[in-house]
Amino acid sequence: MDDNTLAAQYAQTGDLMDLCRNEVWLRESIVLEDGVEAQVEAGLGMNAYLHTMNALTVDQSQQLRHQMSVQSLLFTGLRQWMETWDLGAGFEETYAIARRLIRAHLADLTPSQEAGIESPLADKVQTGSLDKLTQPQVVTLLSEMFTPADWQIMATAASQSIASRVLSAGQIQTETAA
Amino acid sequence: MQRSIQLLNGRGELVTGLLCDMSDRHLEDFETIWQGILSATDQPDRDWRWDYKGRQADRDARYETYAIEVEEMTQGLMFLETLWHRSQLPQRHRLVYVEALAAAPWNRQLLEDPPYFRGIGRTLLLFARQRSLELNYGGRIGLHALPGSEGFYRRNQMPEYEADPHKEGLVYFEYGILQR
Repeated sequence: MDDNTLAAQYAQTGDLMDLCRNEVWLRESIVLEDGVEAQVEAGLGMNAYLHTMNALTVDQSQQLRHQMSVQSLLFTGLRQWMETWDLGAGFEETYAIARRLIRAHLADLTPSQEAGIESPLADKVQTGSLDKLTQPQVVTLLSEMFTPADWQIMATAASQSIASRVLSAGQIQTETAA
Repeated sequence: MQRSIQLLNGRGELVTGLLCDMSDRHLEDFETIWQGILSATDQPDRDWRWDYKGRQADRDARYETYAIEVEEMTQGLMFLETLWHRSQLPQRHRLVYVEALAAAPWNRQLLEDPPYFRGIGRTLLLFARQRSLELNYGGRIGLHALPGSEGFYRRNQMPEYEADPHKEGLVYFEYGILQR
């Protein structure tokens, strides 16, 4: 990182992260990350992770990328769908729970569910986003995936999250008044 | 904290992501999909997650954790210590220490050509420097590069110091004050 560039950015906006909106800066990242020495990991605590990553075979790497693509597709669709549920303060906790439920189901998909994922996945890979045609397909997939017990778990998470915030507000008010 | 950032995908196209405080679901991404393909037989007794969870439990404010998220998946993680570390230069100024920094396995050039997203490591490194400025440390940051990562930090013009015997011989790098 060239100090002159950083210093100029900081003097201009007070925020180095504005460089991330600079296409020249971004394209420089490609050059800096190209080549054999393209690892970025730092910190002794990441040693185990790096060790296991270096042991990945090509097949495992491709499998991992596919798993990631599937989860990204489903979680993107999930978020868009859940945003229509109007959960407010309960959203993040419920979303986290829903992700865990989906991951559990992904470990045990039926052949038709697996086939059902490939079509919107191919569309998303092609276009880079969920469009008006792909999103309904993902919602259908998720609807078929979630069991009645899953819905109860998500509902409980949402209500508990909101209840906890209400009670917190009450406690703060009591402490302030005291 | 949550802020919009831009990265490049494997096709060289601009994509928008988020740099945010790390939450449990980012940690879950690390523990499931980042490492999920591998068996659990080689799990270490202690790695950065032990430290993260411990500090989280203690609500120790000197530790900060961040994630880069794109398309609802965690693409990079960073764990900072902001109070106790000092420069290895004689003046011993305070600095932000990068306890851990990593990119998701599909973002690595070695495994995939091209990587799924580019710029993860550099963006995290830049943010560490920004935090240092915000904390009035002048942009000073320090870290120990893992074997194979030294070249990345050299290419980012981070001054290199000796292998640290207290960190299993990892090479120490440190950005000094941002020259303005």
